Amino acid sequence: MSEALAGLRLALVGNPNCGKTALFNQLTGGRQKVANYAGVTVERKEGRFTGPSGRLFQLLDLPGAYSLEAASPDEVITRDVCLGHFPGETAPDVIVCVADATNLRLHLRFVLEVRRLGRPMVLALNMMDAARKRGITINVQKLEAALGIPVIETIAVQRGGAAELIRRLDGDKPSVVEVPSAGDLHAEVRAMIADAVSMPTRTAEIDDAIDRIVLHPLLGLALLALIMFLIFQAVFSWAAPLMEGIDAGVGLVGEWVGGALTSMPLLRSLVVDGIFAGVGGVLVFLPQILILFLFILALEESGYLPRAAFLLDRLMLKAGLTGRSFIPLLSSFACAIPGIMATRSIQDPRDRLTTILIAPLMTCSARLPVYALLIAAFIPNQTVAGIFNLQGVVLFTLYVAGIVSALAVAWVIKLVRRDKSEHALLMELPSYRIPHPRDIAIGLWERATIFLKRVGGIILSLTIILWFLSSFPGAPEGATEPAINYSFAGTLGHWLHAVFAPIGFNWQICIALVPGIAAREVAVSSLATVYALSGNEQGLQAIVASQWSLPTALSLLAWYVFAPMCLSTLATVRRETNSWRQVWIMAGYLFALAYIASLLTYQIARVMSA
Amino acid sequence: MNASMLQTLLVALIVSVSAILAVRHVAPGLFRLLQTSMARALSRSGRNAILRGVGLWLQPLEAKKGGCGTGLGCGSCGGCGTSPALQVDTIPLKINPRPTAHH
Repeated sequence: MSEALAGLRLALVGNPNCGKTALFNQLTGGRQKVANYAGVTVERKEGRFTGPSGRLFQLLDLPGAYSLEAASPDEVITRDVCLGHFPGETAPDVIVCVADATNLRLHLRFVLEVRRLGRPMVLALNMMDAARKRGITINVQKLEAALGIPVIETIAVQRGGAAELIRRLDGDKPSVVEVPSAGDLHAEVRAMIADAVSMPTRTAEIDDAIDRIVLHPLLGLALLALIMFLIFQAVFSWAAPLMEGIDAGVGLVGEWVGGALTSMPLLRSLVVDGIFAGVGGVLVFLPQILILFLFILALEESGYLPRAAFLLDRLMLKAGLTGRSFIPLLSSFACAIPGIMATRSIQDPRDRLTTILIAPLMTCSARLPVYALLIAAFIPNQTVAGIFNLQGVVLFTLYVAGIVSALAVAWVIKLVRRDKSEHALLMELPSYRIPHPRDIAIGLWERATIFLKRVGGIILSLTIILWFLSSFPGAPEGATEPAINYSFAGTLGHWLHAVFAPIGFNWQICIALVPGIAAREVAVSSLATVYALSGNEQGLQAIVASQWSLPTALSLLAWYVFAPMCLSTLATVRRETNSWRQVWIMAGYLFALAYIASLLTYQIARVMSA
Repeated sequence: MNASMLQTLLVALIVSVSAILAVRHVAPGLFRLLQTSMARALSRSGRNAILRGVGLWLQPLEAKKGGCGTGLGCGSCGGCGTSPALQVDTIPLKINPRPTAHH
């Protein structure tokens, strides 16, 4: 079989945060997550593209590595693929080593290490636009001669920025360079840079100026708190008109469809009470989720997040973690699953386990609909201290409660575990970058798609099942209470009520907790369906505000700060730890914390409001 | 068919599809097992053509295409050799006790 037909297997390797995934997306048209910090890619990704000659390329995007002597689990993948030891995978035909042109002093060392493998190789000098802006000049011919491999300039974030690389890969396969396997790599890098690179300053002046404020022990922390605070203010202040628009739209369509189904009361109930009341109740939270991610994506692209990790390192060290846990924990604000997977970049297995165990305490976006519903129902939309939205302040407090709990649990784990050794944080601080509107727009589109797929998939399915369980069997003859009381779900809700009554949950909440285990947002759609079937004509927010007491609402908020109500997260913990024991430990301590926190909240609030 | 029967059928269909989708999401392993067992039972020789067709349709997608788990191989040669072990890109956590310090 000719090589053209068989295709060429390429692997993108390089130090973390040099733009491998951006290059992967540029070459394959993929939409893998990119951000301006190390450790975004923790697994091997695969894509394909066709060269101008029609040759097919199979491209692997590998986690960043500082050395082939792997120190963390994600680096093991890169090492094994390069050496051809990865199960079920042969070594790549050509290694495309990517290096950040603004930081060759660090990145060339890894290039030289990969070159020693004796495989066909190409060097992509990425971020050439940033290098030129900083006045860095690289003599590519000299570098090519010194390395003995093709060197190609690329700008992975610019359309057509990899055209030259594609042209080169589509040509003859690069030949293998024979190099001695011993010698001082650092000395070799220094010699190459002295010969081929001219750099006015080692770091960008603007970065240094910003870092003087951002990394200041006091100013930096104050700035971090302010940024987080403003994000949650915006989530409530900006989203309101959009949410009202969606709510009105869903209501109108529901009425219209319901009107067309008057001759089929059962089907009408399924569509109006089940689908529109339930799913519509969750859909309205899309604007809030997108506003939250607008800020997270902008911070990710800017290069600020590793600085935040640096700032919090001392605090995290006291709690038994390292700053390296910051990025996985931050990823958990979107969803605990990528957060748990991102712990692969943590070298110490004990630190990794602690981070996995506390990741579900970070407030994932699936909790936002529950928080937003209860806050909107019970916290007045008023301004405090002249500028702050009170609802935003409460939301911020809930997020802080999650963070503080996570640190407290990590501290307890530190006390319990025998090995109390601490690990210094060694983390690369990337250059600041102005977030690209196109990347932010793509990121938001992805988040919206994920949310809408959940709404149209698992949330819709579970809401329909809940409607069925809440509608059958019907009320017996002569029944005086609403029919839902006699249904399967109603019976289950009344049984569970005995367990949850001390924490203030009514039987409707108890029903909603069960499908909420599959996906947290389903709790909101379930409540909407249960109340709609109970004969309530109002919207869910109005029902909650009028029928629940404040202690009950606060208790449910406390429950959602802790409860491990997500089966997918538990499955991921099982996979990443290879242990059911850790899953049971995590689920057990989170349920216990949730119950105790709700009990205290409910009882204290009841006493105070009496 | 009167409106009442049509309504019952539609509701049953919607609820059944929702239940299948929910099981697939919540317990993908169990769902796959059930799907494969049912497909095998329906495709058994001796069944009529319609049932065998349904069985074939029910088979998991990669089984239809001859992918992993079919004995046809996960490699790119489409079943020309023995298949490598199914690659699972996970890195399970392994904690080894630290060596005790000698004084």
